[in-house]
Amino acid sequence: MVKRILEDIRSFLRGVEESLREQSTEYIEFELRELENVFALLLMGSFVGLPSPPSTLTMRLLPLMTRELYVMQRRAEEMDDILGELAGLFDIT
Amino acid sequence: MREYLLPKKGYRVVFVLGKGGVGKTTTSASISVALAERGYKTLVVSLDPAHNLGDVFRTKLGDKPKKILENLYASELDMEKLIRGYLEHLEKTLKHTYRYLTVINLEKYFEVLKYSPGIEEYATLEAIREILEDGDEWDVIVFDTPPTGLTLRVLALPKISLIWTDKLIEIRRKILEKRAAVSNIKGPLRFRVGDEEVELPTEEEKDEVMKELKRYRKEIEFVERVITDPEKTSVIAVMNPEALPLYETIRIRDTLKRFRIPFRLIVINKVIEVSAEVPELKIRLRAQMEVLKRLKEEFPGLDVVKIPMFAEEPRGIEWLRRIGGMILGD
Repeated sequence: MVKRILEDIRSFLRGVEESLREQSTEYIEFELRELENVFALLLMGSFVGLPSPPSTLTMRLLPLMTRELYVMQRRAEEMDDILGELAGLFDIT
Repeated sequence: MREYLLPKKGYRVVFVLGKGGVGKTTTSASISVALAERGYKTLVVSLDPAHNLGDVFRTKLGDKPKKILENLYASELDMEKLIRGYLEHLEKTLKHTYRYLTVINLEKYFEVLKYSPGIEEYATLEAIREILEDGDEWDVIVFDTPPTGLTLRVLALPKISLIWTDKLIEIRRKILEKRAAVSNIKGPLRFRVGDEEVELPTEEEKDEVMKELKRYRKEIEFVERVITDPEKTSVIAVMNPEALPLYETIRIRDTLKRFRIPFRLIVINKVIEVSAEVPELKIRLRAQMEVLKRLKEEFPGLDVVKIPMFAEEPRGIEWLRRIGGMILGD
């Protein structure tokens, strides 16, 4: 009996820890995605009318930027819901 | 002898700039012939898309340096071909890396890059860099450049590229820091696209993008170091004794100064010299005098060489030798 209660408490605490971990990285991850998006946007700036960096550099980096391009593309597609994401992040309901 | 045209620290790089049609190519060829005859192994390269270096030497030139005289080699770079080759190579790498192209529609991006503004400048810079990298093969490298506008942009590029690259390195560093922070708590970060799953790098040494950025920075820094070193690089501006070429020369000086590229000499080509008074030329001569006076005021202390307008068009090695001797000054 005591053992089961202890087991329950332990698993509860583990759950708390995991959720704390999730929460603690949530903001950083959001920032990270934004940075990756910005990085890709800067390199691909000429497509949206931003001043563009050396084309040579863009072309040399392009083959290595799968992840950043993917994030950028998704960002562009989900542009409408960026407020939603922010609201979720800051617990606004 | 003008010391700044001779090798001092390793090889010497000479850029010949000027408005179209003032005699850049003849000047470049003359200097090269004169240097070669004084025993310096000289390469003269035409970067101008409208090639006429070959016409001056009366031979056909290509990408590879061709021997013209003892110690003298010449080549004409085909920019169009260079750009094409460059893009083809890139397309291959891209297709290989992005086998799942359909996922992110990369082909569209690539199509546009081909027509990206400034690609010609970057290709020119790339060509200059490649020649400078093997610079130790030569004593002197003379660049016959495209008309002023393009050349000035090309010479400004290394500095601008460095600024861009530094900014991008900064952002990349932040990305990696954030990734490291997240993966410290949650374990390695994975990313999947198509059928492939990769682990996202968190260290600068393992991140291919960062490595490429740093590699590029190093290459550009090398060019920047060479073209701003007065012991390695000298720029010569060629002009005619007329108002518009003078303005252009002033612009050249200002831009070069901003980017700290050593400007050493002005060659005034086709100066009319008459022994007796010619009424038909009176106004023209007065205008010429006016320009020469302005020139002296605008460029105090700068070395100037006057090449007279000759009775016949200076073509052939004999003429080049003579003009080259006047420019080298012995």
